[in-house]
Amino acid sequence: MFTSIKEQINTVINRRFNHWLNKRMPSQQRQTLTQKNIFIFPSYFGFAYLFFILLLFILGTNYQNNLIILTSYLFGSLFITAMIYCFMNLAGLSVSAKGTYQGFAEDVINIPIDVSAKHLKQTLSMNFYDHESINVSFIDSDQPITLPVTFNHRGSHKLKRLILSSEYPFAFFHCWTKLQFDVEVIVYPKPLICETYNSTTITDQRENDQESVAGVMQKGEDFYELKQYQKGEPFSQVAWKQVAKGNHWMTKQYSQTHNHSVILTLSEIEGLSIEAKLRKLCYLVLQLHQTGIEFGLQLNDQDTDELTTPNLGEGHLKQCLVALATFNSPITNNEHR
Amino acid sequence: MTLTINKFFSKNSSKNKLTYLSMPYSLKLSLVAIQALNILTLVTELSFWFIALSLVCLLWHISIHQQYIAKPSRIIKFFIAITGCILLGVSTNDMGVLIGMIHLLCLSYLLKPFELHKTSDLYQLIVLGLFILASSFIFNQSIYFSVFIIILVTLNIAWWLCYFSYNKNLFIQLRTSFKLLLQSFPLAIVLFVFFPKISPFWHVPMAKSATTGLSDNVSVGDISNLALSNELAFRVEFSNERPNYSQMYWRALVLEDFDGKTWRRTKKTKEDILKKEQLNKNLDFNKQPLSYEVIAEPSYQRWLFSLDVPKLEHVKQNKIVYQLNDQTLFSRDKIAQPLSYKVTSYIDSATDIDLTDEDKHLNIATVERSNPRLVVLANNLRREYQDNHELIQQVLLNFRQQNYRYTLSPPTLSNNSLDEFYFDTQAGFCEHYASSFTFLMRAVGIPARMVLGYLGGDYNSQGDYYSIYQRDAHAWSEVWLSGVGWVRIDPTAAVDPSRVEQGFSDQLLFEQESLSSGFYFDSYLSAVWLNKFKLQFEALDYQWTKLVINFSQEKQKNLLKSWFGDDFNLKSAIIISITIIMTWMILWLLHLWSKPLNKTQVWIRYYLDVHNKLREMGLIKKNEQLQKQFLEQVLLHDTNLGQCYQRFVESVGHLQYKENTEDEKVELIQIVKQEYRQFCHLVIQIMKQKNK
Repeated sequence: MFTSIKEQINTVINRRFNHWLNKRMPSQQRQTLTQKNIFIFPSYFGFAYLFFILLLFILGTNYQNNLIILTSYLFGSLFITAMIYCFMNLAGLSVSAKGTYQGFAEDVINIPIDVSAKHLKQTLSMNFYDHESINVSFIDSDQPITLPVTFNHRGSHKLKRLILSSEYPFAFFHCWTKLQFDVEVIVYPKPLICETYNSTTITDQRENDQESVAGVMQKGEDFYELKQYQKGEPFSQVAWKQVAKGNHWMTKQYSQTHNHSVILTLSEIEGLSIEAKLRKLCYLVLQLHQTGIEFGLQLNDQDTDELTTPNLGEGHLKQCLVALATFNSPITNNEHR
Repeated sequence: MTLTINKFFSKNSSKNKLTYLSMPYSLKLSLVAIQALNILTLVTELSFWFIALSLVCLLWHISIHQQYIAKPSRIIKFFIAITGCILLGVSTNDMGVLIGMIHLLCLSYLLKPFELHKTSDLYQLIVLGLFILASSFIFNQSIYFSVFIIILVTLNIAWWLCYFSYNKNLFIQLRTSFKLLLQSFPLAIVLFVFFPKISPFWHVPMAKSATTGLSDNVSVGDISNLALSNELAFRVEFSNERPNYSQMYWRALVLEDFDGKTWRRTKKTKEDILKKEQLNKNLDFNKQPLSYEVIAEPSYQRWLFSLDVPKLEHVKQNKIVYQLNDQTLFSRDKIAQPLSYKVTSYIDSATDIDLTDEDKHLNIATVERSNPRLVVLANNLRREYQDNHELIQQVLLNFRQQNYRYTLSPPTLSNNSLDEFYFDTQAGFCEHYASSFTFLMRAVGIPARMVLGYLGGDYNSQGDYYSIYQRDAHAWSEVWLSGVGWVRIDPTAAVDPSRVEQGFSDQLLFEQESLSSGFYFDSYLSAVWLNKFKLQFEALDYQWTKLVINFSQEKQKNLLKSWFGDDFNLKSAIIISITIIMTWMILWLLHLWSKPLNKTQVWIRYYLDVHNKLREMGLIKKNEQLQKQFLEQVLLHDTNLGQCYQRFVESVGHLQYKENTEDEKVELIQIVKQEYRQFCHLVIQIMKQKNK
């Protein structure tokens, strides 16, 4: 009961805060840190240090000892100086990030950011909100940095604010900023290894063949022709003997493979939930791509589109993966973690 | 959007990979050194067993770092802590509360390094160190000691900076820390001058230290021991006119109680504090008053010093300094730190023209059967001279004409007998003469008492003040003559007039030097320029004591009044805020003007960071290790990383050791940068794999 009230209050505060943050620091491609977007507040240790200064002051006053009092003032003044240094350590930093990046769920996706500074900046910690942070020991001039993000769920995610923080020089203060960039991450479902794919779903000339796709590949079929190697084709099909002789890279084309193409249909996949099915599909798509079998992907039963027509190649693969990632209203940001 | 503000505080600081364990070996060692230095500031207050314990702890830390022995287990740590506490508990009774607390503070500071797990442990350690440095000011406040403390503070802060900076070089961080402190000083001084000084909140235990200087009971021979000490007793600055040397009788104690051997001070009560009317009645305002400020050094006693006849300048000072009815000044508390007070003296004013019968009786009391020969002499004198003046003159004439000798090494007297001195040995120091003279006066029937204090002082022309040392300790007599009051009579003047007029004669100085076993700096500072140097240092120390250590509530008020006038509230507020803003501005400008990055040395930074990263992975390059050996170590750890590291080191080597043209340099720096980035990427990847 109490916790729920607390949660509600928290969400209200957060909403307010985020609204204010969005108004004050809107999304921009390149952002320079100034007093407008830097936050600074004493850390727990900072407060403990202030208490220590107070203790010293009381000690000095009780002993009427001017030197102890002076020392407490000096340490207090150091606190202020440290605040300026802490702020200066972030101020003037210029950060930029943009673009769309892809990767699999539960996998590390690297997001490149450009950081540049005119003065030396030390001991920074950077992370995207809700993602793991990395420590940057120093930044001078231009420096590309890659930040790892990990998502648990598929979908098209807009990255939340980039948090940049520093406690240099003494950890009295925690100085941080939250910058919004237009960075999108398309997260593919995590491939789920599945059993043989039932061939009834394969639109094949040889309807009576009950073997799995993988089985087809392993068995090998009649050699049909040698074709010029094209980028993206699996190595397993490269005619290594030809390569060894010094000829051009060729791939062996098998008669069966040549005619063979697969349409993967969501509704035909066995699985507990739609997510599991999508994960299996993702696995199959990758497998088919690797083995070089033309495949099509049908997620909705009714309409047929570009994806449904069997095809091969990196471009097609990517399209299919994106379709899997964004299928049926991409998961909203608040759901993950 | 559900961005939360829960990262308001440094909540994820535990995530930071900064750990004490990943610090370079040299820094761990320097922490032990810093600890030793911090403890050293309190070494005079620590007991021997504790110093031994500290040494054991410090050596233990070193051997842990050297990996001679493993870290102690929890049981051993617990055992050490308990042992320390028990030892402390046992010895607290002898030490007193303050010293006990100091021991406890040092003990926790010494044991803390065994428990450095989290970053917060390290914070505690550093703050404890700073606390020790600050608390050492309780015991020593000289300017030299303060400079030493400031250096140590800089060192402590530099170490702290090493922890947070990518650059783990202590010497480079010393520069930064010095800069930080320098920038912090203006505000600290502004606060010191303007922030109202507050009276103590509650009573605190004082240090139990050995008393120095005069004592309130004197037997013959006591003061000549004091005369061997070159320790500073107090310093005096006259505001306008300076008296002659022979006028500088610094009164400290009046001893009225004599038991035949020892002169004692009578017990003083609240009744004995002089009232204002009483004082004004006595003073002869026709005399030229002398105004001066006295700064008494810590003596752990309560008597203070003044010329006859004193009048405290500020009524408010009476809270700390009292004037007693025997015209001596008295401090409320034991003097544990330099104490400053202002006095006006009306030299040669008479006091106590009307003496109560009680006082009269006290001051002619002699113990029967002590010193019978002197009593016989007194009776003869009384018969011969009816007039008190004439009688006194005759006694002094005896001292002058007979074969009396003024010496620092008088022959020992059996039973402190004054008879023996007066009739047989006839050689003594001031207390011999004062003591026998006073006794004689009492035997004759003239009220007389012994006064202890100091005579003269060394003038410091650089600082325009007088230093009075323990060797200037002196004893003289006061006799009460009806219609005149108390009159000072110094029998020493009759024996050795130069002592009273200029100070120690050459012969006395020679005696002093041969008697004192200690090494005296003074005799080696005879060269004029050296002496000038010494005077300057002393003057500096004097100003420090006067302006900083003794900057009291009263002085603050007067200073602010003199700057802003009586209505200093509004104006001062403005000035204070302006000063603070100015300080801030200076700080800002200093930062803006700070040099832009030194591009020529940029690769050093990369080099350092690469090694920091390797250290975090457990690859530590020892100083004596060759680059090649270390490279093999890295290659063994991870081939890719090793190759990347090799390329990086080669490029840095090109930059560092080969002569390059500007263009080549720019190109090389670019290459180094690229390689550095590659290296960083690799490190991140390896770390990730490890985490998985």
